[in-house]
Parts: sequence; C-alpha cells; structure tokens
Amino acid sequence: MSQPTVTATGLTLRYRATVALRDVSFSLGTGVTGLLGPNGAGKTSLLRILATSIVADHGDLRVLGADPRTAPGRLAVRRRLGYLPQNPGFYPNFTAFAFVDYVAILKELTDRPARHDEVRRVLAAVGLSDQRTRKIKTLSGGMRQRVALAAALLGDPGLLVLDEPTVGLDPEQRLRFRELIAGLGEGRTVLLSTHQTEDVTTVCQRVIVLDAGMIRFEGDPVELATVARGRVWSSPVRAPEALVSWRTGTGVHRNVGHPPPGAPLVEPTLEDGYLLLLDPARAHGAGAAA
Amino acid sequence: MSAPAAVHAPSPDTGTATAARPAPGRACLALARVEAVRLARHPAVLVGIAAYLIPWGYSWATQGPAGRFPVLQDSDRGTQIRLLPLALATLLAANLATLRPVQNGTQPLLDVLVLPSRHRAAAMLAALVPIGLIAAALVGARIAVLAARPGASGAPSAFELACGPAMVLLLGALGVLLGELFRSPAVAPLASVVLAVLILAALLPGRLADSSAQWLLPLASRPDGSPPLPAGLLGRPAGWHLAYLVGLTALLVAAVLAVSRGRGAALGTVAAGGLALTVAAGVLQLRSPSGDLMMARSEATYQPASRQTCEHRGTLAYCVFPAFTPQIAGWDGVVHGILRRTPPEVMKQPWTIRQRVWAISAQSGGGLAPEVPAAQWRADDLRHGTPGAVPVATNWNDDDSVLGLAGQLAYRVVLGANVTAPTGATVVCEARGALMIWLAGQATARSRHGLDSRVSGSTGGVTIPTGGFDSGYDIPTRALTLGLRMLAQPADVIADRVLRSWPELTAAGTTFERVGALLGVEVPPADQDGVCP
Amino acid sequence: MTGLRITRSLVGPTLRATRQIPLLVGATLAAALVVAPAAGGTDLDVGSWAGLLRFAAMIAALGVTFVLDDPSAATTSVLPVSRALRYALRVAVAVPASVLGWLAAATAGHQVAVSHVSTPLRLPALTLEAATIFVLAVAITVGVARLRPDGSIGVVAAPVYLIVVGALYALPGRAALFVATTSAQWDEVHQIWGLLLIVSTSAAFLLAREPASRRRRGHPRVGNQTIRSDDPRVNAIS
Repeated sequence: MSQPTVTATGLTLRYRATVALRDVSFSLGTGVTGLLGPNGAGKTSLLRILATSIVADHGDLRVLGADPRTAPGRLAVRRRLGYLPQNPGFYPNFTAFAFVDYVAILKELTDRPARHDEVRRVLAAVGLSDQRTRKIKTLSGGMRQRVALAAALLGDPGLLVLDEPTVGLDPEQRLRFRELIAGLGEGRTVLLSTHQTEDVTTVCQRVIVLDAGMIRFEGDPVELATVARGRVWSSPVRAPEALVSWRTGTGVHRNVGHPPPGAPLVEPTLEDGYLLLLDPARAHGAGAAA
Repeated sequence: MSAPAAVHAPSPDTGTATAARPAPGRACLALARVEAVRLARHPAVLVGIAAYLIPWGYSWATQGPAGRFPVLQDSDRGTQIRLLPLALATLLAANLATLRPVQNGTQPLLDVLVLPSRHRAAAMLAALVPIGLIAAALVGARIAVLAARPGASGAPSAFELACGPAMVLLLGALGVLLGELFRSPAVAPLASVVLAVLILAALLPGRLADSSAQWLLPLASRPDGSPPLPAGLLGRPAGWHLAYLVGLTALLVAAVLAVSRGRGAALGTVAAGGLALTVAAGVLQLRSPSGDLMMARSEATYQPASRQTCEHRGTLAYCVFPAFTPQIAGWDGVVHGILRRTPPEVMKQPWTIRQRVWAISAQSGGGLAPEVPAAQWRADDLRHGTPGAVPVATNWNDDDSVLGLAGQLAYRVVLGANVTAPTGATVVCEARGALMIWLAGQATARSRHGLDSRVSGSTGGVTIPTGGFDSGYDIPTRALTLGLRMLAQPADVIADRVLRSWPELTAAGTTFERVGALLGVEVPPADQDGVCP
Repeated sequence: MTGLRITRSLVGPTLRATRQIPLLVGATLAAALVVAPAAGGTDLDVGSWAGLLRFAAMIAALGVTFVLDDPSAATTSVLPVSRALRYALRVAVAVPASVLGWLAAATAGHQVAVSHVSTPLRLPALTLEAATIFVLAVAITVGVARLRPDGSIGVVAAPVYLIVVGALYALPGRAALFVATTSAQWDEVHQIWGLLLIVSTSAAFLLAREPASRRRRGHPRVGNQTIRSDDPRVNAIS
C-alpha cells in the first residue's frame, strides 16, 4: 500500500458530557472504505473531523499529508477534499448549475471557462446534465443528493468524504449511486458512512465498524463476515441463546450468538458479523427491529 | 352513525381509551401548557423580565432617600413602559414558537396529526396568558413595594396597572399572527423594532406626544418627569385605553384563528366584539377632556387652597392636595432645617407650606408652565388667611423639589413673609442671594444635593425653582459663589455669625464686602456677565 | 491575484445567495421613518429629528443580522475560500441598501433641520452612531454564526441585536450613549461611540476568523477495543 491518505491516531471528541469519539485510530488508502455503525455511533462526528468542519479534542490526524488542526494545513486539506454532508443545504432558487458553480468558486476555481467546463463535467458524472438548468427547488430528493455529490466532486479531490449519501434514495437511484461511488474509488480515497450493510458489500474494499465512539472492526468486508463464522445458525423458533434473532422470509429463524451444540450452522454474511460486533443491548434492539 | 355507543358492552379498558383520545379542548390545554413553559423559558422573555427588574434594582440601589416618596397615581403608569421590553420579547418568542414547525421542517408531519391547526394556534394564544400573568405579577410587585414605602402618597389606578400586561398579551398575539401569516423569521424582529420605534418616537417631545393620537399606540404613558397631578385631575382615559387594547387583542385572536382555518359562530362573535370594542374604546379614549375637568384643573392651578387640606404643627401649616399627606413628613425636615438658623421672631411666624401644581396644559398633566401665577396665588392665599404661602411641588421623590421648597422658604425668610412669589424675571442681585443659597443648601442633605445638581448643570448663576414650575428666581454668579463658600465652612460657625448679624445680612443694600467681613468668608470678584448693575 | 479573482467571481452568486428581503425592508422602513414625517411637514424639534434618525439607523441595521443565513453552510464551511471572505462579501451586499436607507433618512432630516430648526442636527456625529450600530449588528451576527454551524443565524442574531441595542438605548444617566443634541457631554460621548466602532470592527474581524481548535482537556484513557481482521480475538468475541 502506498502512503495512506488519512492517518488518525487516538482521536477523541466530546460534546459536553457525551463522548462522541474515544481514542479512534485508523488509516485510509485509495479505494472505497465503508464506515459502518448504528445511529449515534459517532460516524458523522468522525467525518466532520476529516472534512475539517470540526477539530478533535485529542489525537493526531494527517489528511492528504497535511495537519488540519493548523490553518495552512486546513486550507491544504480543503483544496483537495470533496465533502457530501449528511444534510447538504441548498439555495432553493439557484439552478443546479449555478449552485455547483458557486461551490466551484468557493473551491478557488477562478478561470471562468475552465470552471464552467468542470461544473459541466461533474454534473455529467452524476447524470444531471439534462437537469442543470432546473432550479433546485424543483428537483427530487435523489437529484438534490446528486447535485450535492457533484459539488463534492469538483476539482477532482484526493479525498471524498460522503456522509450517508444513499439515505432517502429509491432502489434504482441507490444502485446508480453505488455504481458512481465504486467508480470514484479508483485512484482516490473515498470514505463512505452508512448504516446499510449492502452499501458496504457492494462498493467497499475496506470497512470500519464504529459503535459508541469506538472502532470495533477495521478490515476487509469479507473478513467482517468471517467474524460471525460458527456463530450463525437457523432454527424453527427464536433461539434463546441468540444475541440477535429474526424470522426470515422462509419462516425459519436466523440466529446470531452462541449456537447450542449441534445447531445447523449457516454461512455468515457481513451483516451477521456487524450485528455480532455491536454492543449486545443495542444489537438486540436492532434485531428486534429487523 | 346509527348505533349508539351505549349498546356496546363497556370494555375494561374504557378508561384508557378515553385517556388516549381526549377532547380537542383538553389536548389544546395540554399543548398550551407545554408552549407556555417554553415561552416563559425563552431567552428573549427572560431578557424582557430582566429588563423590567434591572432598572428597578438600579434605581433602588442608587436612589437613596428620594425613593421613599413615590406618588402611586404616577408610578402606576410608569409600569407600562417598563413592560415594553417584555412585550416585545413576547412578540418575538411567540412568533418563533409559531414558526417552529416551518423552521424545523415538521410542518408536513403536524399537518396530518389529529389536533387541527386552529387548535394548535389556539393553544399558542392560550400559552400567552401565563406570560400576561407574569407581567401582571411584575406590575403588582412593583406597585406593592412602592405602596409599602412610608412616604407613598396617592392611589394607583387599576386600569393603568392592567394596561401593561394587556400590552404584553396584545404583542404576543401579534407575534402569533405574524407567524401564521409570514414564514420568514425576519418579520417579527422588524415588526417589533417598528413598534418600539413608533412607541418611543411618540415619547419624544413633539406634536405626536402632545396629541391624543398617541393613545392609538399600545403604550401611551409619557414619562415626562413633571410633577404628578392629584388623581382627580389626571383625566387619562386609561379605562378606555385598556378596553381598546383588549379589543385589539380579540381582533388579533380572531385573525389568528381565521388564518389557521378556524370557523364557526364563536369566531365571528369574537371578531365582531373585538372590532366593536376597538372602535368604540378607540374613539372614546381620544375625546378631549370635559369642561368640568378643565375647570378643576384651572382651579387647582390658580386657586388651590379650597381643594387642599392643611395640617397644623405649632405655628406651621402644611397644605396638601388630597392623598398627598405622607409627603409632609419630608417637608418638615427642610422647614426646620432653615428656621433653626433664623432669629426667633422669624421662626415664630405662621409659615404656610402649600402644594402647587401646573395642571393646565397636557393630558398627562405634563408640560411645564412658562410663568408662575403669582398674583392669583397671592389673592387665593389672602382669601384663606395664609399670605406668603411657600410653594412646594407634588413630587417629593426629586431632590430638585426639595431644593425648591428650601429655596422658596429661604427667599421669604430673608425678604419677609409678605413678599410676592418670585416669578421667572426675579433676580436677587444683592448679597442676600448668598444667604438664600446658604440657607437652602444647608437645610438637609437632599436640598444640598439638589443645589449641587442645579449648579453643575448650569453656567454662571443658578435658578431656584418654584415648586412644580420650571421658572423660579435667579441667583447670579457672585452671590452663588459666596453662598457656596459659606456652605463650605462649618455650618454651626457660619450659623452663629448669621444669627448675630441677621438684620444687616437681610437688609437691602448690604455689600458683598460687608457680608464677607461679617461672616469671615472670602468675597468672590464682581460679576462680569452684566446681569446685575 | 487569485484572491481578487475569487472575490470578483463570488460577488454575483453571493448577491443571489444572500437574504435580501429583510435588508431591503429594513432600509426602506428606516428611510420612511424620517422621510414620511419630514415630507408631511411634521413640526418636531431637533432632538426629535435626531431621535428618529437614531431609530432609523437601528432599523436599517436589523436587516444585516440575516445576511449570513446560509442553508448550505454544511457544504460551504469546509471549502478553501475563507469564512472571513465569504462573510465580508455577504456584509458588503448589505452595505449599499443600509447606506442608501441612511442617506435618504439623513438627507430628509437635514432638509427639515436646515429650514425649520434653529439648532444644528449634528449629522456627522449621528452618522458615526449609525455606522457603529451597523458594525455592531455585523459583529453580533458573525458571533452568532460561530455558535450556529447549521447556517440559520438571523433567527438568533436579530433578537440578540435588538436586546443589545435596546440595552444601549436604555443606559441611564452618566453612562447614556444616546445623549441629547444639546448635551454638554456630546463630544465626550461621541469619543465613546468612536471607540465602540473600533471595538465592534475588531470584534467582527476576530469573530469572522476560522474557529480555532477546541480547548484541550484531560485525555480520557479508554481501552482500544479495535479488532483487526488478523486479530486472534476475532473468534473469541461473545
């Protein structure tokens, strides 16, 4: 692996009494990394730290070879960063083109013809060439999300930070978005936060599981599945030994936890591994909801 | 629905079912309670309450003994402008609360909830009532504290006291209406600043403040600082103004409910009632004062003796308008503070202290008289056997009034009891002016304080006010300076020398140099301003 | 110069991205407050005209508390162009409307004062007050923007501004800032206004800087529970 794009050591962040991140260390190289975790795990806080929106209380961070805690470092990061916030706001009366163009100026693309070419390029990349003259208030949720992604893609950033980009998209839009993101990971570092395990299995080369502000797992998506090897079994009814159990479409219960001797083991998926890693109390809640 | 509910067997969980589906009215009330707590804890409202309490605390801490003599028919309307910040804060906070669904994007969710929008609006309006009660409590607390002061005189008007809380409710309802009409959070700040500006601009001296049109604003109490009038002469249409505010509030309530899709006869009744009340009370409050009131004001100004009661203490008589008796306790110290420095024949004269008031000009009793009606007073005093009565203003909570009484008594003590009241043109050119300054200044700490403020606020000489009037008599620079030098000496030493040389000091034509020699005080150089030849 | 080119390119979009209506309404109301009574020939003394001009300045500056409202703050706040430049441009958008509002009010006041009132209106000093109030509004808004990263700023900044200006207006006795035009303390008080202008300007600039890193506090020692895929503990989790 070449020089990592992001190196984080011991990041800690508090909001008053709440600890959002505890001693988080990891590194990111080229390719798409999924940041998986339940709601409130600290994903958005971590992404905002990487995006220079907030600064961690403790810990060291190198992003694209710069230290975002210093003013010059922060500027250097911002010049090569693409960030899609969880709730990207828009100016409803701007057209898609005008909004991306505005962001392009704020990204210091000053040469007008070149900037307009770049805006057209990123709008084309997200498949919005035909909609670029429409006002944002007339666009659907999925299209707005793509406008925001287009803005993040401006200037061919070395690091793309995407905060739950697939939330609120319909299945077809989601597929297209995944395809887009998978392509973006070629030759560039993409960090994608999500709580959808499918996002990870389909586009990510690496995965980080974050729960209660701590990293529970960092590695290959396939290896995340192997965490649950020998821990998933099926049963006709909900097994009392299971940490998480849910009824599948075939009427059989799928259980994750400590299988009783002789239980019919099932090949684990990434989702099984993920559920097993979570805090048991919360995992139960997730299982009940599933 | 044809099947009556009674047909169904009562199920064991009837109670919970009823609790889960309360009547809209009860849900409305529950919502109002939540909103009221949020409103009362809103930072703007807290600041509004602080804006009421902080100036109160400030004046309480800095006012000193002057604060002992409030006049309640004046203080009652003083609570209104003190509530203006809270009223504007309520406008802002109620507007933000109304806009919350729009700002936070929960409008689509709320639109499909059980409680209809008009009930939510009604709850928001009902949530204003506790804020109104807080305002009423603030008003009540202030007037109670003032009334408990030993020198408090007069009686507050319940209408004036209620106008402030009514204004809080009115502006709160306006905030809700603006929130229902406009989705921008900028509207309420603009509206509140415009309202504040209109109200404050009406308080600037000028045509609007003097016209009765100011009663059309939510707040019509000009804190003009002029001495208070007896309650019967105020002629403020506070009751009609309160009705006007209530009518306006009813109109706003009806508008809010109409905008939030409210219907029904009740709404129409509220709207019609509100309109009728607003128009009727709005017009009635603008009437000019009645002839009887004008007569009474004129009499109180020119022939007050028949409207006053007198309290006799030895050879002294203290005459006050009804309900002003507690102020006599304040006068006594000043009168004795001067008479103890005079020879027995002066001290034993039957001195009369009489309240004077200028009740002619403005509706609020404000406006300062250009000229002291000395001739009318003299005639009135002669008729009532109190010639040479010493005038005193009706506001004893002001050190300037204390100086006024001390200075006017000193004037008569020095020049003789039968002298005509000094008018605006009176200048005491001789050395006797210095004696008047000394007598007035040494009487009490408050008279000294009043003198010092007058001196620091003027160049050259000083004007000693006539109670309740802007004019008085002038002491030019040289006499003033000599008087101040006398005040700088130990009082008892100077007092001994004054008593010993009283006839010469009070005689006309005694030179400054002679006075300086008699009292052992260095004489200032002659005036250069040419006021005195 | 890149900075200059960025600034030039940003003017147009910033103009369109900035909330204009509160600004325009504020400036219009401010002008109307003085122009209307002046045109109507209202008979006021010089103190009243000065009072109206002061109120006009307060209203005109209210609109500026909404210019930093930015629904896409989450996106724009992490772009290379500095916060100070973005804010400066938005405030610059507010300047013409406010200045025009003030000029209209001041001109109307001046006309009346020249023709009807004997004592001078003291417009330069009143303009100093107006400028200070404007900059104060900017400083308050920039300060509130630091606390509200979501970009909805005016909704808090406007009430805060009103409270601050109201408090300044209510300052009693010796501490009073809004003194009568005939006051002996006029010059002295306007030195304080000048000082306040300098302080507000400095505060606005300081507050517009990028927020520095948060205060460092005690390092909580939390066990690192990360599991690498090659960790032997992987199979030992319960």
